[in-house]
Amino acid sequence: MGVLQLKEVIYTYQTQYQKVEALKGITASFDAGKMYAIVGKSGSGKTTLLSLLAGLDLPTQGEVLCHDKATSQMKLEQYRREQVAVIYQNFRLFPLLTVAENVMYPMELRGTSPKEAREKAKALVERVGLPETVLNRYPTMLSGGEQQRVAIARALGMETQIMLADEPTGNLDTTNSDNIFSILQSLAHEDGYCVIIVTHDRALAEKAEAILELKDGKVVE
Amino acid sequence: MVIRNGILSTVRARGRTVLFTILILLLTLSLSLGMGLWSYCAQTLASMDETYTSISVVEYMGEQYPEEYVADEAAREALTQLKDFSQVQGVELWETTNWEVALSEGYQRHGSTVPYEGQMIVAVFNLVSKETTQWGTLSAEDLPEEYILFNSQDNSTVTVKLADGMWKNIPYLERSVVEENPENLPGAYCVVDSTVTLVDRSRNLTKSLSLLVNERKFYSYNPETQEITGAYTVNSGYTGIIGETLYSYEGKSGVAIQIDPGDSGFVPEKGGRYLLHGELFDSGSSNRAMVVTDFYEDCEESPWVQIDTYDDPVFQEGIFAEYAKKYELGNNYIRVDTSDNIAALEPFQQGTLYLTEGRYPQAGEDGVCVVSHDIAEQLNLKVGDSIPLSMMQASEQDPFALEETGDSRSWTVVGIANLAETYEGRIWVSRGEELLQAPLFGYQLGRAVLDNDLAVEAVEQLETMVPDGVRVTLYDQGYSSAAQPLQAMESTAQGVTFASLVGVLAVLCLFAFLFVGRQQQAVDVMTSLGTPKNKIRLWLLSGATLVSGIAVLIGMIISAGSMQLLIGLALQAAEAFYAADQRYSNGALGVTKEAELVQQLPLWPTLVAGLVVFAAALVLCIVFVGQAQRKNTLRRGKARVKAPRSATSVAGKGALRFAWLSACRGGWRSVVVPVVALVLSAFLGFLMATAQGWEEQRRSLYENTTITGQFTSTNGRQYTDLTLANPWKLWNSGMVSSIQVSASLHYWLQEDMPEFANNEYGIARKEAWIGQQPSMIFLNGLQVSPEFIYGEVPEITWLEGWDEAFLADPSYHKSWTDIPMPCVASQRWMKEHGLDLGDEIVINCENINFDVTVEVVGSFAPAGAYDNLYLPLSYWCLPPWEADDERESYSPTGSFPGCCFTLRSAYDLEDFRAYLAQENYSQPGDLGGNRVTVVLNDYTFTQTVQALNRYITLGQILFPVLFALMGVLGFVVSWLMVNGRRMEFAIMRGLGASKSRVFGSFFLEQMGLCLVGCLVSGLALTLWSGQLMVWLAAVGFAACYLFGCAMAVLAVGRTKIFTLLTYAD
Repeated sequence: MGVLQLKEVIYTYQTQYQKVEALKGITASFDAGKMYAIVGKSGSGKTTLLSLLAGLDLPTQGEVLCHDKATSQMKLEQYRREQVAVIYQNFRLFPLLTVAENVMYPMELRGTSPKEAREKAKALVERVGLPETVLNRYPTMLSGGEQQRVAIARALGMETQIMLADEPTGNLDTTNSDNIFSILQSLAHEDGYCVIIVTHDRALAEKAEAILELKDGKVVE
Repeated sequence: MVIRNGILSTVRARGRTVLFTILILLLTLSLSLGMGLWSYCAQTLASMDETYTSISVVEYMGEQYPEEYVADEAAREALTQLKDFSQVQGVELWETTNWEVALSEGYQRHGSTVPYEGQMIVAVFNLVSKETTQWGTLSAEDLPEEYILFNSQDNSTVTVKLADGMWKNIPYLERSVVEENPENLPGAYCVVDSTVTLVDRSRNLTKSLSLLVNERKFYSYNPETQEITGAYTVNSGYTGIIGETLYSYEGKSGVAIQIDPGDSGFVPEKGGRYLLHGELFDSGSSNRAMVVTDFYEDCEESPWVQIDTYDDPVFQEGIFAEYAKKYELGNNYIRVDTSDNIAALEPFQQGTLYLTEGRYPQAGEDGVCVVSHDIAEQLNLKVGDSIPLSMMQASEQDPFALEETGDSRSWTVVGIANLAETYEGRIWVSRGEELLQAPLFGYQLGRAVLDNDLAVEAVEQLETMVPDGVRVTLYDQGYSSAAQPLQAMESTAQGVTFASLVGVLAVLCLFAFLFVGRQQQAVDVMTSLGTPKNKIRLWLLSGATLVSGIAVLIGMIISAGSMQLLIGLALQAAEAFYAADQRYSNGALGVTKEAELVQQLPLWPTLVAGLVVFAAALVLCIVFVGQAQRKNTLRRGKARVKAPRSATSVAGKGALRFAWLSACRGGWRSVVVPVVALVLSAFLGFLMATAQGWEEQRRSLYENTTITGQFTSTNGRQYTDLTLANPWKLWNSGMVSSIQVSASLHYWLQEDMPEFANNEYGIARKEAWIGQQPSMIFLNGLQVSPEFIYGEVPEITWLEGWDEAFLADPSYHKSWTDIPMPCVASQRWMKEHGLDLGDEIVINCENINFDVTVEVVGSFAPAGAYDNLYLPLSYWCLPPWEADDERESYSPTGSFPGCCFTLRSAYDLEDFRAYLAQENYSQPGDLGGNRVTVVLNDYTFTQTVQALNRYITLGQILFPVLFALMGVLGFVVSWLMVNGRRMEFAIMRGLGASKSRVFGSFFLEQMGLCLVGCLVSGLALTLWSGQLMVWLAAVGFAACYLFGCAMAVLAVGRTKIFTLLTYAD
């Protein structure tokens, strides 16, 4: 049984001009210790799907289950804080917080004291292959690859079992992309995370254990 | 097709199109109404400026004010001290009083304005000495043959002169005693009954003495002083018949006349004829009476001459003929007034005079004049006719003692004035005519024609330039009251117009940017499809032009339709806002004109406003067309923000930690909020401090202002006679704290009084002489004295232990003779009589039959020629408001020349006005049922209070609006600050931060930054103003700002995280 499951998930939303059905009955299951790739063309619904998995919204119909418990039955804030960690394509780092403070932020949300969080942040930054010197720098002073590593470090700091990544290498060059992918892969295989990435990159997706391809809001069999 | 597509692509953006259509419509409407109101006010004010005339009359408040033809050297001296008033800002024309006298053949003056009505030069004959009986002391030799002499000690006996040298005291006997006991009667006795009968039985003489009594042949004998007083006969002039009249206003001859020789020494020979110079006087009888008087003081020529016939050369030449001619000339004088603005002369400006025909001469226009109604009537003049005049030269002391100058002139009549009794025999000519510089008579020194808008300030300036005793009075026909609302409306309309223009530019810039400038994508598409540039322009402009055109048109239609209503409402509001109660105020002297408002509203402001907005829209759109065509969207890049190095912080916890870090590192963003908070809360605080200052100022003004008032004549410029009941009635209002009254009696030193004949004329002369003596002025405050009322009370040097309070001491009324009467005197008078402070001197005064001793307890250096003495009012009367017990109060018969009063408190002013109105007191120029005119000296106070009230009212309206605006501003600033940080919002929420934590992170940051600004401004304003209430502004601003901020954070927080993240991407 997967740590994350989708049961007939339908998601619709209303734009200024029309009602859009982004997901049309998706059913899937994701296990710990594996890396999944969600692929599809633009507008296929992959980012929407990731958002539902990340607890940013609830499905219009169907359910997202985490450890067999529907997200609709949970407090989404708590779910996001304690169950899933998300890495975004554009890193999503606080521009006015240093690297260390960015990594410390989710820990502090969970009640860790700043001093303790700082120590953990230092270890996590080292773990994602960044030197200690970046700790006191602002994200804008780092390269894209470095910022994505910081984002991964922050996700690791959340100490969840599920790691979601939306185009984690989308803004990176090949070398950085490979490095980041390696980190995510090791998280799945060595640390037992359930890693789900959304990507355009077919070659990258091929490296995952399973691929979920979407087309017009449906899973392509 | 291009136009159609352009329009369609514009109007399909419905929200934007509707929003900007409404905005442009509103701004067109606002601009049009602003311009319309501005134009209306300017037009009405210009029209009022032509209709109203403001003048200030400069007068010397001399002893005989307002006598018009008196030669007062003090007034002439004051005239020489007037500075160049024409340099004062707001004075359009300054003219000193200038008039001359002329004669016109055929014009004869009538009525009370004839100057020599009482003079006579007549030939008299058949003169008979006239004897009159007088009462007085006489010697025994002067007693007649038959008389009775009463013993004035007890009137018990009567002394009878029985024969030459034979006197006897005989008793009074009652008739009953005589009848009952005739045999025991004394030899001689008086019977007291309806008649007194002298009986001398031994001589068998019985004579009724009623005849003697009737003939006043009874005398009083005082045995102690041996003085006999009684009636005696004296010569009291002559009676005669006027044979020929050389000069007399009434011109009668052949009538009887009484002649009093006066001081002339005239003693006619029996049967003689005489030519006499003199004047008529009231002898108390029905007969005509004249007194022979000198031609002029110290004239050596005799005022009487004996003549044989009426053909005597003295009728043709010599001083009698000369004076007869002078009187003839003087009586028919025509006064020629010169002015460069005749319509602005006081009688014309105040509406006493107006033109019934023709027009006024223009400034500098030669050879034309306006004539009074009686001249036109007597000389049968019409507009266009000429009036020939012989110009005369008046003497220095008598304006009607005329000498021919040989200067003959002729003026063409261009206007005829109405019939007004006191303005008979007048013509008015332009100053362009060169006339002789005549000496000043009367008290009007000059007159300034003022710019209506600057009149009040100009008068204030003039008042600082005039010497003591000179008064400047403003007559603005009510212009300032009528114009104030319009001026305020005009200023508001100007503000609305400029604000609308700025708004128009701002909105149209945004409009052009959004509708044209931001259409790069469409331009790129069109360009890529090979669309010609002019078609692209047409595409871009068509939609924007249509939207702006429709909005402008609707705005113009609404504006044209609602202008009348809105202007009416604005005028009503402004009038209500500026309505000042000027009843009984010294700021509203003279007539008040009703403002004639312009009825026709101009349409051009609507057209101009529409054109301006439309043209601006078109021009800005064209400007942005260029911009849209120049920009290439493909070349746009992203800016990279550099951040400084910083150490990682572990301080704080939770939302506060994030807020703190964000605030510290926010850069310009962290500066903007405190600066905005500082500036705006300081601005609010400054306004509040100022408003508090206004309140303080108003309170202080009310508490420190003493409102005085006085009873005046109907023109509001001079004191008038009053009875004590008039001020007493005011006292009953309960709103008057003190009333100062003055009354006067003429006084003199016995040795200074000349001898006067003991006849009617002598008595009249004595009264006239007394009338010219200085006065004992009884008052309860020096300010009410006529000498000081129009100037400053001079510094008084007091005898030790004395001060001005003694004048109001009510205890002096009990006696005039027990102790010397304390008084204040001029140092000149004291020096003249060799007096020092504390010295006493005996004086006489009118209506008092005993000597009065005064003691000088205070002295001052006199400014004028007065030698008045100032004594406590209670010698004269004890007003009820000063008496301890109302029963003690007393008032003499007669009147008071002046009374001024002080209000208990300036807060009572409005109630006091209401009381005056309720009691029907008259206002200057507006008689009420109670024909006593009251003037309150409140103009400056009322104006200042009104201004403060307006500021305070504005403040009361403005502050809530400002606080609401601060709230909106707080929302906008916070929205901008928070909305620009949606990414952070989304990250926080994405990482699972609770809503309260997210809210707290942003709100606490904004709060901290805002409070820093408010704290600094609060401290600075406290140090500046010393008022703690300025913190209210800081707290108020912070509350409003933070409320707005909370709303903004909540609004951003309501957005779905999903949307936020998408937006951020």
